Amino acid sequence: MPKTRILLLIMIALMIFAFPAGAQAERTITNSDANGVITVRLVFPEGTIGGVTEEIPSGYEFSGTSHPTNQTLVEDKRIYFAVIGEEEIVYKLKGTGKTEISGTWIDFKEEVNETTVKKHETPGFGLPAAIITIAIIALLRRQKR
Amino acid sequence: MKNSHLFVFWLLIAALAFATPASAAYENDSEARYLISQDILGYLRNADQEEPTINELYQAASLYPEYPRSINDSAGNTFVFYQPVKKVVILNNNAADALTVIGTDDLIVGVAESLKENSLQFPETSTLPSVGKWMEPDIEAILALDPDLVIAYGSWPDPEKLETHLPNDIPVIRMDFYKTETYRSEMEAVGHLFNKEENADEYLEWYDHYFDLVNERIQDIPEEERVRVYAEAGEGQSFGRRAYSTGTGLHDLLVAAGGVNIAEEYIDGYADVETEWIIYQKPESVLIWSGKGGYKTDERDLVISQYNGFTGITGSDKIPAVSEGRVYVITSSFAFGSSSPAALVQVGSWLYPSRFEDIDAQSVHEQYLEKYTQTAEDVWDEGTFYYPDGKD
Repeated sequence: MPKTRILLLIMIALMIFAFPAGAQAERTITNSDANGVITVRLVFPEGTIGGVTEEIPSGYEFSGTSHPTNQTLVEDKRIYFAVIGEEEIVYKLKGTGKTEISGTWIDFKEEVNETTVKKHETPGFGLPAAIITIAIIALLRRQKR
Repeated sequence: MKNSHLFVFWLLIAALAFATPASAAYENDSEARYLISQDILGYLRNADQEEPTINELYQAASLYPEYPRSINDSAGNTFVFYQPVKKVVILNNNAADALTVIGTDDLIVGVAESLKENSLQFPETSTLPSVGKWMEPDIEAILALDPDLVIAYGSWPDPEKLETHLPNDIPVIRMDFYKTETYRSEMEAVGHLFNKEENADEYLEWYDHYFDLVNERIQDIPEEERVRVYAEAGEGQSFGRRAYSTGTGLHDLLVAAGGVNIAEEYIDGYADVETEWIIYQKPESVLIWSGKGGYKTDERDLVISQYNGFTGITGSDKIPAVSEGRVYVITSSFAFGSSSPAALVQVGSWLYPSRFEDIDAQSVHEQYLEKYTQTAEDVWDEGTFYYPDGKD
């Protein structure tokens, strides 16, 4: 395969896998610290206008957020966030028990109603992009020989 | 590093740069941010709520930060708009005047019957379909036009005749556009509502300039030296003459021009007064309000007859205003609304000519006609905006 064609494929692959697929919200939860506080990080695609509803797990209570006060509403065991262009929301929960959090997400800009907030998997390009990158390097090495 | 490796390296760097999302460059529109945040939180909390609907939120999100935007009307109601208003029905001339000034008269789709008579002031708007009388609107005619908004006076027509019969998605904004105390805020509000802030600001700068100018000229006049003015609208409904006092636009105008209303502590609002009382008060100037004339070129005689109606009353020769030639008729299409700064300069010049020697009040009015109406300054020659106006 000519080198130029390979490079073209690489570029296309990187472009496809590097951009977020659709308007998805993802959640990362850190382990509980010595005071029983867990930090939850939600990330959103750029330029999003949406709303998140997070269910506070049993045994925990809301402990604070850096998100603007007038874009946050805490009621019983739910936290509501209005997302107006922010790409990240960090909030804290305090307590004990399983840290399984469920949440839903509405993207008002993309008109996507009620999708589940996903668990964040891999940073950067994601697994597919990483595999492609390794394969490219291997291919180039073989050509060198 | 070999060339091929170097190329792949730079390719990866470039891909990384493009793959990293840039920060969203939002305008700092705190109102839109606040409104949409509250609406989103409200919707998340209760998706079954009546307003806003999810479709309105989709609309607002697609137009953010231009929308949502909110305004307060003069009846104390707040309205939130999730998308641009495209079709407006107006129930009075003052609203047409205001929308013309800010350059949104092209959005008007229906007008009150009375506006259709004002073809000189509103050459295009007056050709639009009628929606009935300003006090008795034709609901069917309004609905047939499917407007996004209706603009009516603060107190008229009664909500029972308007809002009660309209669906929720046709809000009725109550604004007067003729009262000095609310005029400025109403112009700012419609400028914001129609996304014409720049036009509204430019007009209000002109408005403020002349209000400030008059105030500077008269503010140091001691109370006892201020011109004592009798204000009226002609013959009384039951007896004598119809005097105008506190709470009327004419009172506000003469006070802003530095005059003292002789009826201020005698009556409130509009009321009949005895002719003898007027003569006894010896007003130094008389200001007569007329609903005739203005842009209606065939009503000059009616304006003049109001002038003669006062100067001809028995015993008027004992009134200083009459003997000194300081009786004036001022028409509503000049005195109130967007032309009010020009009217204020005119009244100031009448009351205190020596303090306004360097100001040509007529040219201020002509400037207004040229800049802020659908007509041109030539209309000054054709219409009768006040009397005497030097044309006879």
